[in-house]
Amino acid sequence: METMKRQRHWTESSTADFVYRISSDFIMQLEKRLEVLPVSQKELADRLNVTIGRVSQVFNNPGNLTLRNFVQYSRALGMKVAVVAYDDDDPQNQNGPINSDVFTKCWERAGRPHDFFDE
Amino acid sequence: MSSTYVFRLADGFSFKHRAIGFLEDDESSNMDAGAVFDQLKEKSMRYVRAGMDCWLDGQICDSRFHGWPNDPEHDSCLTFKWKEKRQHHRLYGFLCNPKPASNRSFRLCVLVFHAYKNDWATDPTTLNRCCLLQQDFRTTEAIAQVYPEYGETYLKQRGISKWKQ
Repeated sequence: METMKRQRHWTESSTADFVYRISSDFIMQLEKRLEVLPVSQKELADRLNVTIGRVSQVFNNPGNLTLRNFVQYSRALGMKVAVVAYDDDDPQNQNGPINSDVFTKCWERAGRPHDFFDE
Repeated sequence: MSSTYVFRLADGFSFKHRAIGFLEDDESSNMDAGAVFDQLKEKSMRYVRAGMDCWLDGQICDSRFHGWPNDPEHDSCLTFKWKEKRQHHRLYGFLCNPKPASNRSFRLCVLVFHAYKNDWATDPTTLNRCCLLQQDFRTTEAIAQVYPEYGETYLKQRGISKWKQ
């Protein structure tokens, strides 16, 4: 029979797993931005004043990114970062984190408000 | 006597609109996607799982996975990608709907084969093998152990009352 037993999402195994997943979401957003602009990883490395090897390393293993890195990489591509805490009625983390693009899309659909007066 | 296939869902995920599982042959290690996935090192495991989450969420992310929507022969195939020690890896499988009656938009990714990727183009042999397996009644039988509706629809379409014992 189809398994209906609810199990923990893999990101519940450790904080490092959860951090990896949300960092990975962030990197996927950057990858899309690189494609749209378009900007190469080499150019991004130049803007950040790091080697392309470092950029490649970050893209392949984003688990060690710091909040400072999030801001640096986003700003280098003309973007900003929001850190959002949310309650999705999933305290046991059976469903995993909500993809950060969901928040972005919702914000865009709401007319990209800049403050609560624009709401 | 042909071997029996076994299907299992990947653990540690939430399957709301889509699901991922592994098809294995109980008499051969040829269908090795599940075994390779289970033995991934921590870093690669996280990378692949994050990519799988992305597919399960309905995202498009060519750097982590992709299908062949413009290739009619292989448009049901899907691959998840990762790199480990400069070696490119792939898990290949096919997509199906295991709930054809109750949820017509549900998609299951059945991963079957692991392969090293050394050329830019994908070897169509692996994709052909995935497509052949998708049509194999043993595959349907195995998936039906987890999704009974999949087997019921298969039997109904062929006018068969039950699986051969």
